[in-house]
This record gives sequence, structure tokens and C-alpha cells, in this order.
Amino acid sequence: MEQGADRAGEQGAELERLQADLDEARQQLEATTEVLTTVARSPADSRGVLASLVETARRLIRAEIAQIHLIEGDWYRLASSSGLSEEYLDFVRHHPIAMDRQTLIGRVGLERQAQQIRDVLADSEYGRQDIQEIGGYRSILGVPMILDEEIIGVLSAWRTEVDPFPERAIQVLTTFAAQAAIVIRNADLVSALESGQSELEAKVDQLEALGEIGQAVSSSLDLDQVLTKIVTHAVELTEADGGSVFEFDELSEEFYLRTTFGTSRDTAEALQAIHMKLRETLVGRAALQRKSLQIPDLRLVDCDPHLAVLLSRGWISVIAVPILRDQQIIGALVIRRKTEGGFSEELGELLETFAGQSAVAIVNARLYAELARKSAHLEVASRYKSEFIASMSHELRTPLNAVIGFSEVLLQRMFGDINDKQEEYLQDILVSGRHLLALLNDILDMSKADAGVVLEPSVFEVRPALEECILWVSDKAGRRGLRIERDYGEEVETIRADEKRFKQVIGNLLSNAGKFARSHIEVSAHNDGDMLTVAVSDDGLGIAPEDQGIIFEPFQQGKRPSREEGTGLGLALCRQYIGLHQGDITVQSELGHGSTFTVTFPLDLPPSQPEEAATGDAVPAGPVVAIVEDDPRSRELLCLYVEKVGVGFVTASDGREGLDLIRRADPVAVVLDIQLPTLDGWDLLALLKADPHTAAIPVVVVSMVDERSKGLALGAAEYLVKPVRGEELRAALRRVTGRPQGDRVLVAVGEDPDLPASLQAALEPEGWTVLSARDEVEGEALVRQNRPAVVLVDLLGTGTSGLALVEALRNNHLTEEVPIIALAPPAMTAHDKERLQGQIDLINRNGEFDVSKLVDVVHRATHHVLPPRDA
Amino acid sequence: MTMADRQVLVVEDNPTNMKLVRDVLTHDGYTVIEGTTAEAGIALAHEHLPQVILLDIQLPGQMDGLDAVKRLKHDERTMAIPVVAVTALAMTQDKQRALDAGFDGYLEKPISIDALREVVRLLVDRRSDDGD
Repeated sequence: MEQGADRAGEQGAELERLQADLDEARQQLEATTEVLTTVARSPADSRGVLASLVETARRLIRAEIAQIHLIEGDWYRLASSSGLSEEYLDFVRHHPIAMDRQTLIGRVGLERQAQQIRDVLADSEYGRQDIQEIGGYRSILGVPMILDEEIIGVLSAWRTEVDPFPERAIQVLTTFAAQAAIVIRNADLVSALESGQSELEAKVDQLEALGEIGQAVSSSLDLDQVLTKIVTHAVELTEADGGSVFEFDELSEEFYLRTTFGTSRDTAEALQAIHMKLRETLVGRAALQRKSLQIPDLRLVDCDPHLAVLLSRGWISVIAVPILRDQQIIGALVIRRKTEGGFSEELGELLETFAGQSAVAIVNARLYAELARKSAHLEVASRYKSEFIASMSHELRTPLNAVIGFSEVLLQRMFGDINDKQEEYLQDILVSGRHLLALLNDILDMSKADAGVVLEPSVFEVRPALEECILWVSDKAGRRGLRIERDYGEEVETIRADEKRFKQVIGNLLSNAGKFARSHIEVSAHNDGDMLTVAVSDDGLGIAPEDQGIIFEPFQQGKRPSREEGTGLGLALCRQYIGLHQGDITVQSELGHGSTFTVTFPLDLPPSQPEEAATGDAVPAGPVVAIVEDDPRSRELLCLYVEKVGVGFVTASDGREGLDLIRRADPVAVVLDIQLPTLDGWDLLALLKADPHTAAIPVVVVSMVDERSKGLALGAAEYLVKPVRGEELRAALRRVTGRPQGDRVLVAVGEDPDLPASLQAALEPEGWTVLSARDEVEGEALVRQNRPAVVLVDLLGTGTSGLALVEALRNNHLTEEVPIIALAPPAMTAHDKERLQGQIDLINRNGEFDVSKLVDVVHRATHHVLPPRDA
Repeated sequence: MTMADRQVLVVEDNPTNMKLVRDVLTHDGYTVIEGTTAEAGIALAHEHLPQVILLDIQLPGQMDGLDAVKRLKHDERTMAIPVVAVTALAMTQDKQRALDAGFDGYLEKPISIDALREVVRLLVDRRSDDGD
């Protein structure tokens, strides 16, 4: 029984032990599961996971303290712990554990396996009594944390009594160490991933910003817009608070504010007001040193005027990045914060990229402005040149007429005989005069070609055209005893080109060949694909290689025996005409062996002149302006001007075509030249105004001659004298098309110029247009054309004619409804007043007139609220 | 044909060129009536009803040759008289404009003496034939 009782007791004890084991195992399992769950759930929160891991381990192995040390360089750094005092933590932070046998942790690292010291005080090797004194531990257990076969740290636990840890504790700790290692690896991975992610995001942001800026720089010439975009992105990407872009003026050596972002108006104005000298400011120094300069805290430095403005308005740190272009100072980008601190090198580099973009934008804008200025000058210069040449041609022709004419008269012995010497001299005069004339003609052609000749292509046969050219020179060639040989390919038939220009080119080449050939000229023509090739060869002196490049330039004739013949413009003209045909001209020559000029023309000249299409039938949708002008160059210019108003245009090159076009296209306005073929501008204007369908279309006359009064009398809405500037024409078009019909137009008729002027001043702010007429004829025309909301007649001075106007307007069904206000002079008879009563508003006028009263009446009249009759 | 039948009106503002035309035509037996402005030319045309009128296009004063030829061609008394433009305007469109305005012929300055004599002879002859 005793035995049985013993056994029962033993069994009970065994059972208890097993139960305890089971409990422990379950706790351990639960703890491990918990840890694992934590590890799995929050990979980013490594600190929290490690803490809970350490705490659980400590509890499971019934230690007083558990801790994780991680290797950092040559030392173990305490990474997580459970149950340690502040004093202890502080001490080990400043006196870390070395990788040697002095400590348990050191030994674990060296041995790469679990180590235990039963009693630290009894361990002769133990060397860190300093720590032991604070911690008071006796038994210590430690296991390595191994990752990819490398020790990254040690998980250790201690007891303050000598109470060594059992084998099971070693196992538990080993398991936890492995988990801790995984946690740390995960944390590393996550943080690596996160930093990679944020780095990537930052890079993407930068790239996007740069891309956007790049696009703005290349697509927009609005400098301020581009610079604002640049500074905005620069501020946002550097997480700064504001910024500005300055442009450098080389002359004054000062920086001027161009644009700002995140900057108050007050600050911007203050920045605009200061002189930012190159040699006296941070911005200037940055520019001179060709590198970014920054001030992390403006409160600690002597501020230049620029920085002083910033500091006084709460800015604390700045970086100034020079904007350079090929080492030339263009300006500076300044980024600032309201907090102290430096800008990292990386941000500095980023800002330099922005500065580079700014440089491109500023340089582009400057180039564009320069280009626009030069183009405007060129346009004017080119117009003056054409006008000059046309008038010079005329002026020179008149005296040449006498030179050539009188020479001819004398040579014809019309007024008696002349001797041989006289005849010879007269011939010289005649030839020289004719040469001068040819020169004049070529110059005129040249200037026309410069101004843009419009080709008139037609289909014609090539051979007869060539034969006609040969005929021109055959007389002269015959006199020099030259043979003319032909070599035409059988395939050569027709071509679509400008026949006149074609013949001019071939004729010119033949005429040159005729001058230089010694025995013969050869003309060949062949089709080559879709091109016609014509070659004209001579067996003359040839052209030196160094001259071959320049003979196509105006007035370059190369070396020749005599400059007596030719104007030096022929080949230049040829090249221009061929260029217009999209063909080519080349020369092959060898000194002493003659020359061959080869020209090519496309067999089918592509229709390239866009204005030809506009002259045709198609009328664009939407409002159009009709342009009637015969000179192609002027027409093109007018089209360009009209296009800028934002309306379409149709064009006609003579009067009849213009009339048809206007009737067909129903334009909002007509721009009309006066000197026109088939029907001149005056007649066209009269026809338009006589036709009720077209009478209302405003006409802007554009003429060489100032006949303004005539134009306006015939019904033109505006009269401009050539040369017309674009802005002038656009303003005129705006005036005539924007003129409101009826509503808010007042026609004032009277001799006193103060009346319309003061009405204009009083009514213009309300959107009124005041048109003035001096007498009743003008007045009636204005009323008919403009259908005003109200007519004001000043009877002082106009007298009976004013009364007549009132009656005429009342008797015309088109104008009978228009309210009329009459200013009655004191001398007006009761009878006259009677005549007007019931028809109009009558206001007495005693020399002066009261504008505010007039305005009142105008308001009432146009709102159909009539004042008392005897007002 | 009497001398009155061989009258040519020349309207030209440049005295040297006037002298050239006058001397050549006088040599050929015409009576030359001279005017230096378009207005004067129209008045002289009405007064003398010449066989042919040579009219410069660019003339001083309010009217130019284009205006003058339109007046002449719209006036019953003068509409049958051939009017030839004599001008230094050398552009193609100038010539077209002149013909459109009503000129019967066009002589470009500097004029060829042969062409001048030929044109005047033909036009006067035509008028003489008409008269026959």
C-alpha cells in the first residue's frame, strides 16, 4: 500500500511535472504564435516586434532581464530590452560591449553558439565588472542571432541569483533569436524598400517636373509663364516655401526680378525696388563663382539688400543658384525657406538643372524678341525697298527715254545728215542707254522675284517653247557665225510650268551661250523621271572653278573679256525662277573647254500657292473679310493682317472678281484697293453701296493716294493710305465690324465741335459711340449707314437745313422711328417749334448746352420715355 | 487730208520728252498740241478734237492719265479718239490697268522712235480711212 501510495505520489508528481511541462510548452507555443503573428503583421514596426519578442522570451524562460544586442561596426549595440533601468541603459550606451571574451555576449559572437555563465562573479575571464555592478546579474544565457550564416547580434537573458538556465531555456531563446533575426531582416528589407520607393518617387517627381518645364520651355515663348512654372516646381520639389527668378542686365550689372512663387505681393514689390548689384549680393557672388551659394540662417549673417528684404519678411534660409549659358550670366534662381537649415547637395544639383532650363527659356525668349524686332524691321525695309525700286525704275526711265529717243532720231537722220564719227558716238550712246534699260528691267524683275512672284502655271509644249527661245538669239548667233545644234529626246512633249518664266530662263542661258561660244551652241532636252532637263552648252572660254559658285549671285559675272554686255542679274534671276518651280540649275565648265548650264523643271508643277486657293471659289466657314487687291504681295500682306484679327478671308485680284466675291461670300467687311484692273475701286465701292444687299457691308479703302474725303463720301467706312501697317488695318477692321448697329450709337449733327466731343466724353464710358456730322447731308448719310439709337441735331447754326434734316429723317420709312433730339436756339420761331412738336424732343439752348441734361434726355429717348413736350 | 486732220495731242509733263515726241511728230508732218496735265489734256481734246492723243499716265495734279482716259472715253465728243498711253510704268499690271481704263494702245518708256512713228501713223490713217 505504501508502495502504492508512493507510486501514487510519484505518479502524481510525475503528472504534475508533465502538466507543468505541457503548460510551459503551451505558453511557449502561444507566445511563439503571438510573436510570429506580430512579426508577420507588422513588418515595418521592427522596434515594437523586437520589444514584444524580448519580453515574451524573458517571461518564458523566467529571466529577470532579456535583451538583444546587434553588431554595429566593432561593437554590440543594445537594440531592445526588457526590464532594464535607465541608469543601466545610459551606461551601456556610453560603454558598449566589445567583440571579445570579456563578456558573455562577446563569447557568443566568437563561438557562434549558445553560451552560459553560471556565475559571472566566479568567471575569471569575465572582464566587464563595471556593467555587472550596475546590472547585478549572476547567471547569464546568450544565443547568437544568425542571418545567412552571419552573426548579426545576440539575444541574452540574466538572473540576479546564481540560477543557471535549463536546456529548455536555451532552446526557447534559440527559437526567439531566429525569429528576431527574421524580424530584423524584414525590417531592413522594408526600410530598404521604403527608401527605394521614396527615392524613386522623388526621382519621378523631379522627372515629371523637368519634363513639364522642358515642354514649357520649348513650346511657350511667354517667358514669365515658363519662369513661373520653373520656380514653382523648384520650390515644390525642394519642399521650400518660396522662390524667385532674377534676370541679369549686363549693362547695369544688376539683377531684376522676373517672377516669384510663394511670395507675398509686398515682398515681390520690395524685391523689385532694390538694386541687386552683381558684386554686392549673394546672388551676384553665386553668379560670379558659377556655383550655388546658400545661407542656412539669415539671422546669423550680414545681409545684402536682397537678403535684408527677405529676412525682414520672415525668410530664414536661402540658396542662390546662378542661371548661366555658356558661362555667361543670364540670371539667378533663388529658393528660400521660412525655417533655418541648409539645402542638401542633391537639392542643389536639382536646382542647377532648373537653372539650366531657365537659361534656355530666357535665351529663347531673348532670341525670339530679337527675331520679332528684326522681322518687323525687315518687313518695313523690304517694303521700302520694293517701293524704292519701283519708283527708281520710273525715275530713271524718264531721262533714258530722252537719251535713247534723241539718239535714234539723230541716227535716223531725221534732221539732217551726220558724219561717221558722230554716228559712231551716237551708236555708243544708244547702246549704253539700252544697256542701262536692260539693267533697269532686270532689277525690277529681281525685286519682283524677291517680293514673291506668283507663278502662273499652264501646260505647254516644250519644243516650240525652246525653238522660240532659239529664235531670239539666232539673229545674233548668225552674225557671229555660230551653229545651233539640238538634241531633243523623243519623250519630250509637254510640261506644266510658268511658260513666260520658263522661256526667260532658257532665253537667258542661250543669250549667255551666244556671247561666249566660239563655233556652236548645243541645246538638249530630255525627260528624267518626273523632271525635264534642259542643257545649254557653248564651246567658249569656260568658267574658272572658283567663279562657278558665285555666278548665280546678283552682279557676279566671273572673269570675262568684257563687261560690256549683260547686266549680271540674268543668272541670279534664272536661279530664282527655277527655285520657284522647285527645279535646279547647275553649271559644268572647264577653262578653255566651254560651259554647260543644266536646268531641271518638274514636269507637273505642284500647285503650291495657297493664296491661289483663297482666290478661288471656296468661302471659308464663319465670318470672313473680303480683300480686293491686285498686287499679290500687298494682298498677301493684307491677308496676314486680317488673319490676325481672327476672322477668315477671301480674296480677289480685280474689281469684277471682287464684286462677284463680295456678293457671294457676304463678308463682314471689305478691304478695298482703289487701283484695280477690270473695275476700279471707286466703281466697285459705288456698286456695293448702290446694292441694298451689300450696302451695309463696311468697306475699308486701302489706297496709294490720300483721297479720304472722296472715299468717305462714296460710303467707305474707313480710309487708309498705303503702306498700311498691320495694327492700323486691324484697328480699322475692329472699328468697322465692332461698330454696334443701332444700339448705343448716337449721331450728332451740328457745327459746334464741342457738342459731339462732350457727348462722346460723357457717353463713351457707357459704351456709346458718338458719330458726328457737320451738316445735314453728312448727317443723313451717317444715319442711313449706322441706324443710330438716337440722333441729336443742333439747330444753332444749321438753321433751316437742320429742320430739313429732321423732316427728311421723319419722311424716310427707314429712319422715321429714330428718336431725334433737337437743340433749339433762343431765336427759334414759335412757328418752327410748332413744326417740330410731336416729332422730336426739343431742348432749348442758350449758347451753352448742359451736357448732363442732354445725357438724361438721350437716356430717356433711347428708353422711349419721352420728356414733357415743352421741356 | 488737211493739216487739221493731222493733229496729235501730247500730254506729258517732262519737257525733254515732250520735245522729243514733238520734234519727231512735227518732222513727220503732224501738228502737235501740247498739254502738261490731265485736266489741260481733256480741255485741249475738247477744243481741238485731235486725231490721236498720246497720254502719260503719271501726271501732276489731281488726275492721272487713267482718270483722264476714262473721262475722254465717257464723253461722246472724245470717245472715238484713240488714246495711247506713254508711260514709264513698267509692271505688267500697269499695262493691264491702262488697257482696262480705256487706253487703245500702250507705249512703254523709253519709247522706240520707230514704234512711236508707226503707232501714230496707223492710228491717224485709221481715222482718215473712217472719215473717207
